Amino acid sequence: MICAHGLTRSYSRSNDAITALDRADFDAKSGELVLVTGPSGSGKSTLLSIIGLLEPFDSGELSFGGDSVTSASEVTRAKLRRGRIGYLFQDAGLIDRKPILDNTALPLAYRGVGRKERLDRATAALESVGLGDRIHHTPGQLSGGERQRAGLARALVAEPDLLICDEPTAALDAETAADIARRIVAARERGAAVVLATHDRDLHALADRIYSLEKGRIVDVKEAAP
Amino acid sequence: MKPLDIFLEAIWGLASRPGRTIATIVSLAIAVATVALVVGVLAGFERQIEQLSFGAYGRALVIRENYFVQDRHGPPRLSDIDRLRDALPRVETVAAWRVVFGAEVVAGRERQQLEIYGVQGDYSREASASIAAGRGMTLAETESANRICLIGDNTATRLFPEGGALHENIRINGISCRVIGVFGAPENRIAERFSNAVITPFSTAARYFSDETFLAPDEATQITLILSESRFLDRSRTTADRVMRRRYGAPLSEASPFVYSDPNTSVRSLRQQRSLVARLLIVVAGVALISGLIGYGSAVAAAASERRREVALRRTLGATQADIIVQFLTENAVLGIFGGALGSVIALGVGLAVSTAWGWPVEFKPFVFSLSAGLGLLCGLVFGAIPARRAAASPPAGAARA
Repeated sequence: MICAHGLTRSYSRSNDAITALDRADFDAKSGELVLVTGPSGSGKSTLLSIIGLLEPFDSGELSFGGDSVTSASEVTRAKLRRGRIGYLFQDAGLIDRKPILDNTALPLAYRGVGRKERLDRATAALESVGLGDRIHHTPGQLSGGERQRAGLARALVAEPDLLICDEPTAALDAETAADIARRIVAARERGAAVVLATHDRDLHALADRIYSLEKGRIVDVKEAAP
Repeated sequence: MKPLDIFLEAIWGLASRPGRTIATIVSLAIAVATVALVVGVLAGFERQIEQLSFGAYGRALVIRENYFVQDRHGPPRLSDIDRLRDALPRVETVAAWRVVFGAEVVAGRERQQLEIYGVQGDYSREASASIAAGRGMTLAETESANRICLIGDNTATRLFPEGGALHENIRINGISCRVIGVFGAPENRIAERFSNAVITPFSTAARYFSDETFLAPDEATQITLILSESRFLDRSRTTADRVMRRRYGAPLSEASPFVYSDPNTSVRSLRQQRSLVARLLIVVAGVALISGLIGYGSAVAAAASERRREVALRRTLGATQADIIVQFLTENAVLGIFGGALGSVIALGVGLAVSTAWGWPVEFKPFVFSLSAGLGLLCGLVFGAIPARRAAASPPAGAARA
């Protein structure tokens, strides 16, 4: 689904150049759960942003669904994001003041899906994460766990081929984190490739592959036992 | 995203921040209202001047006796008309007037003190009112001494409260005269004088109704020459004076025996006053507009800056930069239209207030409201464009890192 070779990304800060990602090779196939681990500042978010087509990179090769997107235009990237990629962020990434039903329906609106269909699909997605009775609530009216479930519903509503989750359970209590993690893992059952940046060691056993990063470099890749 | 969805997202963007939205609309409305009010006041002034300009009468050269010269030659005469016409090739029409002040006019049991205007020539340019009932006088009739008359609308109401003035006889200073026509409402200020008056042929007024023994039958209170264009007034005044001096033997070394007035003199004076007021108002409106637009631009820029995270999230979900720009411009267009509409309402209210309280001649033509809405929309789009572009440039990765 997503395949990267030699991805490098540097940022300029004052007169210094900071290499956030250094010649990283990465691969995630449909139906796989791939974990990205490493300490804070190791480059996990940068890697996820690049493979999620949110951020450009300085050098390397990147392909999505077998097609090269290394030099894809911003419009092409936007079309891939709206149609084939779902995102779940640490803080759920919901738009404040917008009811979670409308938040969840938004990716479908950008895909041009009609209003009735997208509201029906958004309602179903929210019901699937147990928020069927809260669809008209705004993010501010929900708990952290509920926000994260709403964020997950939005990430999955368009049935993406690639689900990218950037430390989605970091700010949650253990029980809620386990629930969210269980729902994320369930997404790969549909055939989506799931890329998850996490510190949660309980998920290691479920992963098909684990990338460990340190100072922008992939220092270890562990494959699950067959 | 479909256009309706973009519009709905724009409405949501405004409705989700009601305080900021209202403040933004009000700041734009104040700017638009100031401009609309100034346009309304200037239109009112223009209307006032138009009423004084009175159409063709604005091209009139009026000749009267000069009462201030020692060696008086009397008023102008009917026989002067042909000489003046010959000397002034730009004359369109001529009318000689003989005015009888305070004549007693009786119709049945009604009795009024009215002015009688005896006229020879084309009176219609000065009357500037259509005939509401009956007919006007022909040129031949104005040159006759027939006892026929036209009466103004107020005269008809006062003499014939029950109506039916047409074809009735009225008595002017005891002499009977038949009403052949009734004027409608006057169309400008100069025509208002005929509203409470009676118009008869010149010779009829001189022979039957005038009790002024110092005027000969062919002497006129004034002769009005309507020129083809107002720019000929100055030259025509000089030529007319030369003709009249020669005719009456008044040397150039003495004061002219006649005065040559031009209604445009007062109009020019009003225009000068208006020009000064207009400049002042335009400066005030300009300052208010700039202040309002700075406030509006700042509010829009601040709102766009506040929403960077939202924009980044939208881009994460697949919005292109164009989608974001269109959404923000739509929001600003809606703000602009509401600001323009509110500005129109404020201008209308303030205009009515200053018109009532201070007697300002405020006039709001429909185009003022179109102008307000258009100005609001234009300001919204122009001042919304830069924040929209900046917001759209927010990288989607910002959503992940917020």
